[in-house]
Amino acid sequence: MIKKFLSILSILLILLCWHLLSFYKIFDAEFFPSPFIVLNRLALLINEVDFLLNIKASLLRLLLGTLISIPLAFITSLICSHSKSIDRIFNPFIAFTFPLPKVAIMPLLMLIFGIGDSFKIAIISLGMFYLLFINLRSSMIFLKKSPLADVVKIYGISGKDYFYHVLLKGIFLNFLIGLQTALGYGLTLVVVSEFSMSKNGIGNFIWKSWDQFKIIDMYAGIYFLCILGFTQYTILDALIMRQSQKHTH
Amino acid sequence: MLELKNLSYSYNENHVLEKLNLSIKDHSFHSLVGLSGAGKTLILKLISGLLEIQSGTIENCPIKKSFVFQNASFFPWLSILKNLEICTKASKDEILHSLENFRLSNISSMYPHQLSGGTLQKVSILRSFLNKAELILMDEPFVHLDMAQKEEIYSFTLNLWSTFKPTIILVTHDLDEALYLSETLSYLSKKNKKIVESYQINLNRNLNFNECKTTQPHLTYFNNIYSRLREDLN
Repeated sequence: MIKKFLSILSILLILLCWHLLSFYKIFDAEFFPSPFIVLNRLALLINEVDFLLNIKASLLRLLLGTLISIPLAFITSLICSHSKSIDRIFNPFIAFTFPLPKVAIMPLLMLIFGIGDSFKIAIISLGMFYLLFINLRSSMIFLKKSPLADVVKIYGISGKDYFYHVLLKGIFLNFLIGLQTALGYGLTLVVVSEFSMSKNGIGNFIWKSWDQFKIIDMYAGIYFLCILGFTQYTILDALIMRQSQKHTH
Repeated sequence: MLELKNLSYSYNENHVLEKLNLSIKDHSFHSLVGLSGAGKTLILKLISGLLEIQSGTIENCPIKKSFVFQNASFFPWLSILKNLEICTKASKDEILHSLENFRLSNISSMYPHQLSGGTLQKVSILRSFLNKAELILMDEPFVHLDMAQKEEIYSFTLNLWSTFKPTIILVTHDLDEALYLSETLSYLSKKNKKIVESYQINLNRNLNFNECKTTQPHLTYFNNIYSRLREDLN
């Protein structure tokens, strides 16, 4: 109980400081409203159909981006880790393009996919793909070079046993770590892609609120993103902790 | 009979083995001793196929081989039962029965990190036998164990060997251990890069390890091999 309380203590302290600064008018309350006012507004918004539709649109984009990037990253890292020549061709390309902010190629993706949902899903998938690929490729290569590879060879572990019990289970921890980072980045890309050329989504909601000077609504949208990010991060963190116990040598 | 003929191996320009010859009888327990860096583990890796032969041949090598590593290598994310299942291809019942026979039944659902080094090494040895291998290669499997664990695991290994009767090649630095466990022993010379002497070990098998190593025949073998080690050092 105390541990759980400690884990949210930092968040509560920030909110409390923010509230006090706003309450004593050290902050301009119009631009930095008290978090309790924002949370109150968020509770009201959650009951509004329009806001729920925005959430649904954003979550759907994140889900589709995730569902595309995971198999893509898995297959490419599997190929790269099993073929040195393909890895020699593909990995420098990844190293060359990885530092490029994915937002910078948004216009290019709009040209290719149009300004509908396809381009948003494409940019989310692309951003997530890099983080997943880097984690999966390195964990597959590590597994292949570890002493466990000798066990695989000596005992002739192959087929389903190798694929499921050795490879999939062996890289699962690193996959979760990659997914935790990738989902955080994916959420950023969801919002950025919705800022412009979008009719719905949390990003669109935040942008519209700012545009119409609905500051509390804008903060409510931001808080929602924080809660969503916190939830997915915490769930994955718990899974990582559980899985890492199994990986202890 | 497993036969290594004119086996040579080098890492870059460094020749480790030069025209090595060795014959090991089927179903025997053979030990390979020598100084560090003499190439003992290398021989096991060449026999097992973990390394490719550069020169020479290995004849009559059984297809079904097992390897007991110095550090018991298990997939940490799988339970002991699952580890044994995917490595040995034995049925679940067969594995559970074997674990029970060797008083290890309580560990089947545990993960490797939950077991002590001694227990893990026992399971590692059991795994190599359960695989129904005709040849078991052991690379210093007892090196990290304390004296009490060693005594227990020696009898465990001998018990398994007498049950399944595979050929065993044990690499070790511990001369007492090699003499106690094996029927035949070869000395691999670091200086000559080959086997320089082989011994037929005739010791009283009814004695325990501590009793055995104080007997005169044991000491005679020990001193003989030890003088070889000293020659190799100079």
